[in-house]
Amino acid sequence: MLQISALHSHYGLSHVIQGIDIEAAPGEVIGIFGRNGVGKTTLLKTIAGWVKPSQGAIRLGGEALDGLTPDRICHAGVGFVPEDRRIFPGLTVEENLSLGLLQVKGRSSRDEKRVVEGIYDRFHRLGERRHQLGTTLSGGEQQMLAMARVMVGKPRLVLIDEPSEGLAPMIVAEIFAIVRELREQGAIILLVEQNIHEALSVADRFHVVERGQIVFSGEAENAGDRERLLKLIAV
Amino acid sequence: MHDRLTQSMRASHLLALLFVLASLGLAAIGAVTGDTFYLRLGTEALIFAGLALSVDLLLGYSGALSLGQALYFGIGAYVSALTLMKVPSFWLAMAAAFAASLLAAIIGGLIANRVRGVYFALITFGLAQVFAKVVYNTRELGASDGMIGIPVIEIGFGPFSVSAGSPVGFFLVVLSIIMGLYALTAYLLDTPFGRVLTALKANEKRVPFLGYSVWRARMAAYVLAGLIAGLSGALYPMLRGFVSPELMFFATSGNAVISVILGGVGTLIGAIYGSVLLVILKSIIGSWTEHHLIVIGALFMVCVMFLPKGLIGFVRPRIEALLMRRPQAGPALAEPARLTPAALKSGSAS
Repeated sequence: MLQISALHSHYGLSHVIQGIDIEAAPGEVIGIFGRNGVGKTTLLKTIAGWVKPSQGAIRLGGEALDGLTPDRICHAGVGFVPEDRRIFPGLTVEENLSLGLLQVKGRSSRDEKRVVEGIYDRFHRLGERRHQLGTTLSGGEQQMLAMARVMVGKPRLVLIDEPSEGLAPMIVAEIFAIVRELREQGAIILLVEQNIHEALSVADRFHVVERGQIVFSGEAENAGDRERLLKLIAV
Repeated sequence: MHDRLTQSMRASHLLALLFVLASLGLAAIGAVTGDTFYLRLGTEALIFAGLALSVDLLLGYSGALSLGQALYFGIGAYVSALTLMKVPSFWLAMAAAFAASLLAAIIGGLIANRVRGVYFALITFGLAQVFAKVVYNTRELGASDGMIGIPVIEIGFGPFSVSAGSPVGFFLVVLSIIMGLYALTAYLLDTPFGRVLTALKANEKRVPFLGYSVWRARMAAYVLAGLIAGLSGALYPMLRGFVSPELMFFATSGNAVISVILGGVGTLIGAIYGSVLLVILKSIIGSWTEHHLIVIGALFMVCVMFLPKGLIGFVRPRIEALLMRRPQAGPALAEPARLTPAALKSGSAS
C-alpha cells in the first residue's frame, strides 16, 4: 500500500508541491495529469528522493520513505523511469540491465543470467542489441531498456514520467503493454503522462494536479470523470 | 556474461600475461648475466607501477583524478621502513603498511570525497603536500634527509626464503605482488562493484536510481586505491634501503598520472606498461642528457596528441576484436534496425 499524505516540496523558494495526498493499493495504476509546470514530475522526484519533501509523509507497505536518500528509496522497492530515460549511454544494453540487478539482494550470477535472459525473451530487440552501447539505441529502445532495468529489480512501486514522449504510436502501445505487465505483477504504478487517452486505457484511477495540488480525482472507467478530466486540462 | 567490459578485461589479461612472460625473460637474462642494474631498475618500475595502478583505478573507473596518490605510497614506504628497522619481517612490514594506508585512505577519502572534479584533484594534491611537509620537518622521521639504514631482509615463504638483496629474487617477489594487486583489482572491477564504478564515471547522478550510494562507491574505490598505493610503497624501502619525503611529493603523484596516460586510462594493465615505459625513458634519456624531463614532457605531449587512449588503449581494441570473433563471445553487434510493424508484432519494437 502506498500512502502519501500532506506532501509538500520546494525548489528553493518556489513551493512546488502544496499538500498532495495519494493512496494506492498493489496492482493499481494511478494516472497523474495536468498541464506543464504544475508539479507532476516534481511529485515523482519527491517520492523517489530526488527532491527532499519539506513536509508530509510517504509510506510504502508501512515503511516511511520521506527523508531517505534515493538509493535507499530504491532499495525499499521504488523504481523510477524518468522522463529522459537515464540509461547509461556509454554502457551496453547488458551492462545497463546488470546495473538494475544491483538492488536485488542475495542474487547469484545464475539468477542474474536467468533474469536478464527473461528480459531478452520479453524484449527481443534488447536481446539482439545486448552488446550495443546505449547511445546507439533508438528512443523507443532506450525507453524499453529504462523500463526493463526497473523491471529486473521487481519494484513494489514504479514511478513513470512521460513514457510516450517523442515516441512513435506503435512504440507507445508497446510501452503501455509493459505498464500493464507491471500492474499484473502487483506493482503500484504512478504514471505521469500527457497522452491522456492512452494513459486512461491502463489507469484504474487518476488525479489532476494544478499548482501543486490535486484539484480533481476520478475513476478511469467513469465516463463523467473522464469528461471532467478533459475539461480541466482542456484537451 | 561475456559483455563488453569482460571482453576488455580478457584482452587486458592477455596483455598482462605477455607482461609477466617478458618480465620472467628479463629475470632469466639477469640471472644468467649476473646483471644488477636493469633488474633493480625493473623492480623500481614495478613498484611505481603499483602506484600508477591505484591512480588508474580512480581515474579510469570512477573518473576521479588524484594528484596526491603519492601520499599513500609514501605512508606505506615510511611505515614499512619504520617496521623493518624495529623488526626485520617482510610480512609484518606489509601488514603494518596495509593498516596504515587503510586508515589514511579512510581519513583522506572522508575529506576528498566531499567534492568532485577539479576540487577533488586539488584536495588530494593538498593532502599529499601537507603530509609531505610534515614528514619533511619531522626529525624523528629523518626530516628532509629521510630514513636510511633499512636492513636487507629475508622474505620467508614457508620453507623457502628470498633475500631482498637478491636482484632476481626480489624482482620476482615484487612482480608477484604487483601482478597480484592487478589481478585483484581486475577481479573486483569485473564484479557488480566495477559496474557501479563505470556507471559513476558515465553519470554519477544516475547511480542512486539503481539503489547504490554514490558516496559509498567512491569511498570504496578511494580506499582500495589507497591500499594498492600503500602496499606498493611498502616495497620501496626493501629495494632502496632508504625512504625520503620526496616519495610523497607531487613529482611522484604526477609521474603516476603520466604513466597512466601513457599506458591508457581505464585499462589497468596500461598503468603497469606506462610505468615501465616511463622508468625506462627516464633512465635511457637521463643517460644522454640531464634535461631528460624536457624530452619526456615532449614525448608525453606527442602521446596525448597522437595516442589519446594510450599505448594499451591503442592495442587492446584490436585484441578485443579478435576475441569477439570467437564463437563463445556471443552474437555480433546488431545493426540498428528500422521500425516495422512485423518487428513490433513479434515483441521487438525499436
